[in-house]
Amino acid sequence: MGYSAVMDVQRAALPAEAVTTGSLRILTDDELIRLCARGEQSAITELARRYQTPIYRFLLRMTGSPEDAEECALDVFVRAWRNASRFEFRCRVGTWLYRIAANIARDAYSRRKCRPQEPWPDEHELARMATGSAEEDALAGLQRERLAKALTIALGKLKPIDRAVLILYYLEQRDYDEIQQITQLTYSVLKTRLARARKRLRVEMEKSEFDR
Amino acid sequence: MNCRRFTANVSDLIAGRLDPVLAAEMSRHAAECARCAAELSAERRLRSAFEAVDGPVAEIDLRVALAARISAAATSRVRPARAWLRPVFALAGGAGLAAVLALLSIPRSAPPSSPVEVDETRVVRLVADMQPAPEGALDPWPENAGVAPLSLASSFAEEGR
Repeated sequence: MGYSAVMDVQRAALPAEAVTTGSLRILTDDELIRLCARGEQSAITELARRYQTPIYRFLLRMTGSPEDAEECALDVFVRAWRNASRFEFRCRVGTWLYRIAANIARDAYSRRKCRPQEPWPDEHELARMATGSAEEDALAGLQRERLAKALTIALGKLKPIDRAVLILYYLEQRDYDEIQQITQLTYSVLKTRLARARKRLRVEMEKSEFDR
Repeated sequence: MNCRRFTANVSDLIAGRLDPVLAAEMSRHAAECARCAAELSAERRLRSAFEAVDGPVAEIDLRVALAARISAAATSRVRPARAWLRPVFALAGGAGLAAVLALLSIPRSAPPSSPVEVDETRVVRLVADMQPAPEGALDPWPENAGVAPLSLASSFAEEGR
């Protein structure tokens, strides 16, 4: 089957309405990826509309910096655009994007280690999110803020893979199957890594609270 | 339930990811084991710390920046191989394979002879052993040299005796 024939099949697989009206919102993620593979720029923009917030949030936790997270999130979608033709539809598109994001965050961590050390993470940004509502008891709010800061600092001291599994498990609340697909770890390795990462995190949190 | 199993599943217990039977078993164990009760308490504290940082994230819109990046990347994007090139690649591959097979099929030349000491007595004995084969006898096996081929007629005659 020639390249043009493959493209015909992909075109045929798309709902006619989307092709004729150009409305991409009715398309599934898989259909959008097929369009990306054909070079439709609007398809990756639509995917970004759907996933930019969760991907950015994940990257913000991973990098600890809004600027880095935004840069990394852009890289995620550019990489997805470039590799759309290689996507094999073995997992969900969202899972695939998270996998790309985890890899990009790991690379960003390596680059960060090479350049002069910046205070990691940006505590102010994350601590702002951690402040309680006005109705909350002041003491409980302070306690939460203290915990949040300790956690944020402790997370920054972990390896990227440990940080990724903890964030995916606790914050993104992904199930084990999806975390396996994102991190490419087997179930038993994932469980072990999660247990060790949790232990290291607790130790780091205790240190950071003790330093305070 | 043992402490090791409890520790392995404590986070799933608090997250409500366990089946009710196992969850009840773990709760009973925590009530009896001080160490696991402490583990449960530490895990609850960790979870509340994660909940504390799990607030709303500022909305961002990457679409404009992404469109610019994509436009820039589109020029350097890897395209699939052109259809008309495929037969060329196939021919080149076939030719390469044929060349490899041809090289493999060439018989190896004998290694250059190295000077060896000749045992003259052994040579004399070998020459003496090499009797010319009877006319008409073809024996491809050199180890049979000097052995007179059996006549089929005589062997049948022997069997019939």
